[in-house]
Amino acid sequence: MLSRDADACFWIGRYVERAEATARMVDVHYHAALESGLPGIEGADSPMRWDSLLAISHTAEEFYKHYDVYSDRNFLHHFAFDTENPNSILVSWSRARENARSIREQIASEMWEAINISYLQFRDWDVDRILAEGPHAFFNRVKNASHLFQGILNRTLLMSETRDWLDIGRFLERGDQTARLLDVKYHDLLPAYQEEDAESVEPLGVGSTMDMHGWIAVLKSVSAFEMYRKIYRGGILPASVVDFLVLHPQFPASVNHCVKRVEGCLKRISGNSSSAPSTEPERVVGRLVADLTYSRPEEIILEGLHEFLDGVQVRCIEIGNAITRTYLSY
Amino acid sequence: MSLFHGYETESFYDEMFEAPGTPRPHYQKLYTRLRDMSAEDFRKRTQLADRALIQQGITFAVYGDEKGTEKPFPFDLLPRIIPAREWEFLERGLKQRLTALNLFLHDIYHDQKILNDGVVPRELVVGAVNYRPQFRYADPPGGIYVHICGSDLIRDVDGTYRVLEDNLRTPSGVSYVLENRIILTRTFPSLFRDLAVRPVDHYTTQLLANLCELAPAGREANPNVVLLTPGVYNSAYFEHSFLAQQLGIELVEGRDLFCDDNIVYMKTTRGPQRVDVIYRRVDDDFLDPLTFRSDSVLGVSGLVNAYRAGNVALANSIGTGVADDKVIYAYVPRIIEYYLGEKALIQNVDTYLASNPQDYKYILENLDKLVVKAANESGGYGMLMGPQATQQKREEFAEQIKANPRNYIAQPLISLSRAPAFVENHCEGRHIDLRPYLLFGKESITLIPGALTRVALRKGSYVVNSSQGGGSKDTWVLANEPHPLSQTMGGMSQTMGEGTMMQSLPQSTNPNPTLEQGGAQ
Amino acid sequence: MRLRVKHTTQYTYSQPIKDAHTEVRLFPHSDSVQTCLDYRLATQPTANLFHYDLPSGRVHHFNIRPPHTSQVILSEAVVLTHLQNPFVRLPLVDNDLSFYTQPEVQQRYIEYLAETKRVPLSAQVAPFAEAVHSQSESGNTACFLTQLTRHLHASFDYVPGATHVHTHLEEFLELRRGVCQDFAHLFLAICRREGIPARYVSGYIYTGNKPSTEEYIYHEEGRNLVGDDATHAWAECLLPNGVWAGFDPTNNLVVNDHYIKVHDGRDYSDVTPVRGVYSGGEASVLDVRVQVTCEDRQAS
Repeated sequence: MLSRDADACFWIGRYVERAEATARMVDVHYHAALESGLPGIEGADSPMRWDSLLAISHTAEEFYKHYDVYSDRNFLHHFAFDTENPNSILVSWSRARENARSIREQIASEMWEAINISYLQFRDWDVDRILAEGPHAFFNRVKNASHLFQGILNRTLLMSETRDWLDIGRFLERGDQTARLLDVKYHDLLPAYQEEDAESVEPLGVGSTMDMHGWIAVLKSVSAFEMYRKIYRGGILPASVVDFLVLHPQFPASVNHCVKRVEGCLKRISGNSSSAPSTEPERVVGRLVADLTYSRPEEIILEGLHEFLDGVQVRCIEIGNAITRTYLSY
Repeated sequence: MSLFHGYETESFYDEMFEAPGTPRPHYQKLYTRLRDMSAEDFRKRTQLADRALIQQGITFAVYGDEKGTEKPFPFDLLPRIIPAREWEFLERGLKQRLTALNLFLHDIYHDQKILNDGVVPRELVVGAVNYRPQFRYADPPGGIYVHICGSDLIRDVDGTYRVLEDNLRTPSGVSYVLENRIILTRTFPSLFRDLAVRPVDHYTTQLLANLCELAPAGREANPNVVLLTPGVYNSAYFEHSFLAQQLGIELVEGRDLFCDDNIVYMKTTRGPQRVDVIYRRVDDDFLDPLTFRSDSVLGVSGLVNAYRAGNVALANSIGTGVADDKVIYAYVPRIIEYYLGEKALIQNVDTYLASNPQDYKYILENLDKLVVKAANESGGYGMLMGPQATQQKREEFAEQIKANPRNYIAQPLISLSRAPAFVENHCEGRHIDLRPYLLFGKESITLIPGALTRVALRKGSYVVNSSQGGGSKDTWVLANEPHPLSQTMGGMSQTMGEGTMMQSLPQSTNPNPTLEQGGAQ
Repeated sequence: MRLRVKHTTQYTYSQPIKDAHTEVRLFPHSDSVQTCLDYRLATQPTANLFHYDLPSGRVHHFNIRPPHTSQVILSEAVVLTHLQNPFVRLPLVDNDLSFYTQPEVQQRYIEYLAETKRVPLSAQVAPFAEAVHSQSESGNTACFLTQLTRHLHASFDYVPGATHVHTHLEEFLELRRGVCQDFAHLFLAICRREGIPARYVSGYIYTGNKPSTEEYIYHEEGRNLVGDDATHAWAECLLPNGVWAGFDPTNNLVVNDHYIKVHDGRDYSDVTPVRGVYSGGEASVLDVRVQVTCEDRQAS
């Protein structure tokens, strides 16, 4: 397969996933804040803690450069439509579209159409319409567009290298997004009760009702809440959340599951059926998979979840770089 | 109301009608079939065809449209029919012309005998924008420069075919020939049987076979053939993508390729893979920044040298544009005589060269009667339609001609033939041209029995280019002459149809009928 | 004379560049006035060399794919030059300038009569020809060309670095100073306007073996010859006797056995000694060293 075509697939996978992840995150965050009864949605100083979302998407700098007012309106525009924000939903989707356009002859025409039609629909929205019709209407549309694309892909595309590259992009992005989300949210939520009662710092315990609410929002952001309930009977414990989102091999958005999928695709591409890695990307992915497979959540929290997740994010970047160097540079 | 009710041929040569209400023999069956069709029925078929075009993505990109809108190339459902005898003549004439032009290219890039003998003025060749002195003395495989040729033909008021211009660089449009045919076979299936229309779908098979033949020595067994495109923003990208798919070859951009030690490779996820033959749709100027424009990002550094060394083949070869220059065009009849010792079978349109002092004077004095063309422009740009232009426009052109006579030619306005096109709820005559495609292989030249018929959809317009409001028609080349009786006995058509069908079977089951007809002249 | 040329070209880049493709036109001609006895070309980093031949000379080419920050091209040639007295080839027939008005001549040599980007046939160059014509009534081509050589030499100053490879001829006319390339292009423009087919020649000039001390080598007329610190350039004109003879307006000389011809073309663009493209986008620093030595004298 041409490296350029593989690269386009990789990035289609990443950008579609990124758009979906952003939509989920903003949607859940917005509604969680509403439910918590916090006032002042249009207020000049929204208490909705948009800061953490800016941190997750690494776009705080862009935001403060372009907006004076710390309002929900500006945040919604920033995450959904702002062409200055390289990670906004519209920018991600239009990049996915550009990549898809360049390999139209490689993918089924329905796949191109699914991306193109959704793009044209997103363009019909703006922040006024979001506020008028409710953010959920828009963000749900983005999620559905991503699922539609994925569904068509599953149904139409040959079980070929093309599919593996789309999957590698998708799972690498998803794993990275989950790690970031947890990293930032954990940081937000933990100090909240530490400050309340510095004496009884109990990293594995449950915080206030407010924190509980925050943890539920985290799970919901990655559509994990219901699945979490099925598996963990002990309530919403940080250690269990970490276990589920980072280490659980069966949950489709867990970091462990995502990197394993990437590993599987890479081995299929190189034709490597042994357990030992045959390429540099396989080696770096394999090492991360091993770490995630053999770690325990309590350990991770004791040794510092932030350090651990930061390490995961750095290694996701490394994996991306190794893949690009080995296969995609053209 | 009949589709052809009130149809006027006026003073033009009409492809379908000898006179209003009297179809030409080879159109008789189509006429009979359509005569009783209602406009509503026809419109429905047209809409179905349009939808099929959009669904199949047969579109061209509209430049400068940010939304990425793509429009279907307008398509007129009424086919243009060419009888067997006419086609046989065109085939001989086009093969003769391409044979001579290829010899001309080989000569001017080697010994330049034709220039030394003064048949073609040297300054017209060495001064041509598309002359590539860098490529002189190089030897393309088999001595073939033009592997794919798409010359534009027109018919004048007597119905005489004339060549309007040659396209020897990267002629486009063949994807429409193939797609139009698919749509028409669905729309009028029985007519194909009745009329014994010759198939065109072997075009890509023949093209791929010819491309494979060009593979370097030692690489013939399983050559890696690719199609080089300038990229998605090129207006013909759809065709590049379509052809790559039909040929089953990789569609590559310059950045996918590299040269190392005079060998061309493509970058794949499994490492570099050698490339043997490149069907390139990138112009000479952008092909190789080492040899041509160093600012080109569409090409491959070192490609020309790898080609010169015979390590990779290009189709078409380099520098072919000098032979489709509008000034050289005027010399093609002399070029044919020089190399082949024969008179040109298909005539040129009379051409005045502004570089010739007598013609220069005539052109400037008769701008209101002439069509003036810049030598190195295409797609209907850089052109003055004298009779229809404003005085101001004519004066502008006069200035341009005076500034650079070498760059201009003029021709009398030819009353292009017309064919009926469906407009709103009936048919009206519209001007058309004809672009047949020839494939020059090592063994023979193949003319695909079909062509792109472009139609100027605007009433009264002579400009058929898609960029200027043109559309296309399917072109049916008949395997047999219509029976002379059908001229007078329209009622016999049913029986005639049976007879023709019997004869036509071998035609439609033979995938490569033209392979046997070849034979370079 | 047996001349040895050592020509080193070094490109240095501040950041690594890659996928560099280079064409080199440094291989000396072998013809009736010179014979190339030996030629070596090497590069650093090393590369496999390829070449193709054109009537205007041999072109070498190679590519270096891995990243690198410098590229050195070493070219060394040994050439035997035969043209001790160039004047024997110049016909001294009065009014032979009429040769150039024949349509067949104009047709045949149109490439060397036409304007190019670097050789514009603008009216600005007309006064030079008129000045030379006014000095001589003979209508003799050789006479016109030698006097034109002298006239340009006298009218312009040779100043290394005054112009660069992309300097337009008009700028040279204004500055009144430049390098051999400017002199040669102006000479071509004047000749072509006069209808005399003229081509650009790249090559080397031998100006005497440089002793270890800084001692100037003077020509018999007491002038310092220039052009040996880099490749040199001059013009060749078609004479009515069919000979292409060289004229060097930079040094006011008719080309003789001190000259080594490398390539000819319509202008500098056709004979560019080293031409390359690479990816990386970094500007390069160029260092060129040329040394021409005579091995006859060393031997004697």
